[in-house]
Amino acid sequence: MRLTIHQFASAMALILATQAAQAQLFSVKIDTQALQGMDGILSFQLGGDANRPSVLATISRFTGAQLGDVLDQSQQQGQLSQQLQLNSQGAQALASWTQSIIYGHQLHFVLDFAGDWLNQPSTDGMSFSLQLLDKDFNLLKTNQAGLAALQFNALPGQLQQDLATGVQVAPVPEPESYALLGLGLAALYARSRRRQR
Amino acid sequence: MKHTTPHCKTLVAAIALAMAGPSLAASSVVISQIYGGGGNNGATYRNDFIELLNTSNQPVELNNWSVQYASATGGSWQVTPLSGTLAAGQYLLISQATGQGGSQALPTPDFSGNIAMSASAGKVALVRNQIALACGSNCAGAAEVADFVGFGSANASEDKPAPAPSNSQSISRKLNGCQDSQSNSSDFAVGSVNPRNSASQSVTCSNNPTDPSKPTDPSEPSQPPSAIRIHDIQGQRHLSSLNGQSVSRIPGVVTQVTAGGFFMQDTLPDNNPLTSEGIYVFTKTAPTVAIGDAVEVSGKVKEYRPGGVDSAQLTVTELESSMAQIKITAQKQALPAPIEITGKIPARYWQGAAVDVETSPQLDLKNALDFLESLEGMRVSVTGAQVVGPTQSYAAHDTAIVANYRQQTTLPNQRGGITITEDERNSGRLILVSGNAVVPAANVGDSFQYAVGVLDYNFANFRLIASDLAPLSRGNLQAEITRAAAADELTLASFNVENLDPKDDPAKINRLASQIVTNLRSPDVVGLMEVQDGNGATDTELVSAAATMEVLLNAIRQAGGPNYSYRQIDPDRNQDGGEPGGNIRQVLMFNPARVSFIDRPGATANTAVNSVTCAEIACLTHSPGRIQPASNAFNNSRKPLVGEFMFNGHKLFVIANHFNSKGGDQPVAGRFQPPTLSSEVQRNQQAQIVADFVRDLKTLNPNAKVAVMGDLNDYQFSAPLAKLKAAGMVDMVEQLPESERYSYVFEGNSQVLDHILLSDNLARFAEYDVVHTNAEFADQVSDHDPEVARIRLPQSIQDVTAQFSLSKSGLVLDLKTKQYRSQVITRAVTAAAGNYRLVVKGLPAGVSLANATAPSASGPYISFTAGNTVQLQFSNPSKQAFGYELAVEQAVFNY
Repeated sequence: MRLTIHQFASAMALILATQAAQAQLFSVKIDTQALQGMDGILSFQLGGDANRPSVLATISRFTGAQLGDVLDQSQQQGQLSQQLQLNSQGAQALASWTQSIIYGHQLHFVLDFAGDWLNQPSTDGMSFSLQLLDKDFNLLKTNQAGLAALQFNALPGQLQQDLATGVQVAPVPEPESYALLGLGLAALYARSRRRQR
Repeated sequence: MKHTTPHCKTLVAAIALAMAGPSLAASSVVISQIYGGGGNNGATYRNDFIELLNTSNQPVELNNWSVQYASATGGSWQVTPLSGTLAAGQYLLISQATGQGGSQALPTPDFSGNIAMSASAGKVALVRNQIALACGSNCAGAAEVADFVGFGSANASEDKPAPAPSNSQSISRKLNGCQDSQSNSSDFAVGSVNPRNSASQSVTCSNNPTDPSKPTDPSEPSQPPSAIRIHDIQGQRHLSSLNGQSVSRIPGVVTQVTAGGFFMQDTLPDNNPLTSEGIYVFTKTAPTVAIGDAVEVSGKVKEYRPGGVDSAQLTVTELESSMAQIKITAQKQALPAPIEITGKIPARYWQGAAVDVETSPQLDLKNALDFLESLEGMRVSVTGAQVVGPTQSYAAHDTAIVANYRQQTTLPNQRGGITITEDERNSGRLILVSGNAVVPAANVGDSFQYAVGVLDYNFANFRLIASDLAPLSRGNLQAEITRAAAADELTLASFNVENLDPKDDPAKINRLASQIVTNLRSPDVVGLMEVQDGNGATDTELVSAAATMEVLLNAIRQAGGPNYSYRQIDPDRNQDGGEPGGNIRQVLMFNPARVSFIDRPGATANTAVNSVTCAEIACLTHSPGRIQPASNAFNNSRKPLVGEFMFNGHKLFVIANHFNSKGGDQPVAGRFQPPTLSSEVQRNQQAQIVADFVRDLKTLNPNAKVAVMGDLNDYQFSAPLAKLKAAGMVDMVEQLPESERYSYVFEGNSQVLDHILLSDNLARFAEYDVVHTNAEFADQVSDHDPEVARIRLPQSIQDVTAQFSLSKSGLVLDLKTKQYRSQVITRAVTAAAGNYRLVVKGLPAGVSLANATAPSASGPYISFTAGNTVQLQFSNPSKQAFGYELAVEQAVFNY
């Protein structure tokens, strides 16, 4: 079957819309105003079942807290102060990064998921989580599951978010998406021009 | 129910016996001469003969009597019939076979036979009937034999045979035929042949007072004491050959004084171990003698049978006397040294063929009955007297002991008692009773380093009347406490509460409650036996046990136990045996927080419950119900009570029983060996009916879960229990070590009367415990120990994973608890209600589910309701990567 240009353009727009909804790049903002100045601990974790899908979680552009000693780390590369990558594949149950902080008024970072997480949904559970704790490891912000401030669960066919109050997660289109979007807009423009003729 | 012979009844019988008139002195006719050489070479007389003499002072009827002869070693008896009456002191001549030799005829014989007797060896019996003796070669002690003489090389005789006569000489009883010490060898002498017939000069035997109404004055100084001694009276068999005869001036030293007489013992014993040197002198009223008095006693020899003339107890040889016939010749004499019997009592009461032991011609010291009989009335001592039965509440403080700290017993148990087996009734037991020394209240396991006293027989046991007793050494026996049951263990108990009624001492009721709560740990179902109606043994129209159960249930709550419920059916007034008016019955008591009772109401005392098919496969027509209440098998006995219970989805049929008691059985230490168990007949019928009821249930539902419990009043190896086992029931007590199989202690014998039998589908998962709280203790609230079975009955489970969609999250480490947490969203695909189990499977070593509700066969699980999110918490100290699978299971009913 031969696609008309019209059909092609419609399909393209659909892909873009889908991509935007399931973006693997997220901007995270967490209101910590009530905690400002407090000594505490944060812990990023990526973990799941033994047959979990392969996931790389990259945390970058972390701001909003004064970083202290690193308390624990496993299956990770880099530093939270620069760019931290957690790798789900390994001998341990969790990839994690746990570090002392002094809370500011708002935490902000960008979260990037890569790997086959979404393309190969598994019945085996997989979760990314961020815990905000006091210095005695008590959870300060808890989501519905009561486990973390922020939690992404890879459930069959969906990426479920479970966020504590004051946590905002916004999808961020990636550069490739912007390029595609531009291409699409150009195509639409060309089409409208042709019609005008 | 106690199956001890009531004391009062025995006493009444004893008094009745003591007051009976003098009996005909039948055995006072004796064989006075035997001559077998008649007609032989060198003989004067042409005929053999047997000569009799009536040694008594009264005529004796010989109608239907006979004299009989057998060869020296033979058992085939030839009979010459007799008839008529033999006057006091009169002889009787019975001629026998004629020979070619001899020259002279006998004086006119009174009877003639044709027996060719040996001149030198043979056996002659005087028999109270005319049937050839069937007792073989040894008939000396047979009941029908009035007198017996073995001579020459005869293989049987009274004591040893008389010397051998010859062609020219006969054997004659000494003192013109009067001497009878139950010893042929000493009573007969060989001498010239001197046949005497009924026309011969009659004689007066010296052991007969010429006028029985004028007893010999014991204070008469001119006469020497009697030649007859205590050992002559006791003789070598159970019954005295002088029974019924009067004797005079029998010497002895008083060894023990009782309320109505005293024991005395000869200080000059013979060398015969078969004869006792002690005897009881029955004075009826309190005797005015003291221990250590040397006395001479005149009176009548009497075989007193405790329990009445028809009882199966052994007799006690007594002298019936009065203080007027008793002369104290000296005081403060040394007592004869006691005979040490430790380790000497034979291991079997009786080893011979089935027999009335009193017919045996001679005691056999290999039999415990005979060994102890040979010491009847004598001072004996026991070393290491261990208490094997708790002190009873009778006035004499009856306490069962065995010697040598049980070292000669077959099956000593861990708590200090001795356990019976099918073959072992522990013949070494003696009942220690208070004499000069008072027996302190003692428990099983306590002991006396020594016990000295006089050996008596009463209440079907040999009894040691204590005169000297070491201080009681305490074994500190403690009441047992059974282990706590797990949540999925159903606990069934059976407890005979011994005539419980609201008027019982509150202390008894509180202690019963405490035993149920503390020692039994509040079983889920308790079958109670002997619950009486609300006014106990008062015989009124009232048969309801509501008031009785109310006090018990209140006491259990007070003791911290559960709020028990119960089901039972009132019996008809005085139709179920037990204490008259008490209307004892079984009650099924249960903890409704743990089990539920399936009520199928409507049954009365006379409704026969049956099993029927139903949605639950097999059901009862009535629950509670009584099994075959109209059957003769339950005449004057308790009807089985059955009910349906549910536990953890399992249905159970529980049958609580109280079979008829052992009352009426012959005693183990009695006259008839082996004893006849007459009460077993009815118990066999009862057991058969219950077994058939179980079979009916199993026919309807081969997987029916059935428990048969209660006071079955019989042993695990008995015929009634065999009938229940044949119906597929497992007697749980047989899963205990053999020595631990007892729920009752009867006269020192630890034995099983109470049982819990389980169908094998329950028995496989059951553990059993007899909780020893009562039977071994002098201070007891029931004569029975309760028993508990714990049956692991987890809910039956089926896998319903397919009915669910499960989504599990990944892991989050709780940094505070170090536990890995995840959550599972459960969605029912098909309609699902109720409670489920989320089972976690396949966890590797080192990882566990920390918040599991419980473990299960398929893995640890968490209970949940469909649609809820379930939190999982894993312990994973090594932080290893791990996987797991999920399944959903549901409990289902299991009928």
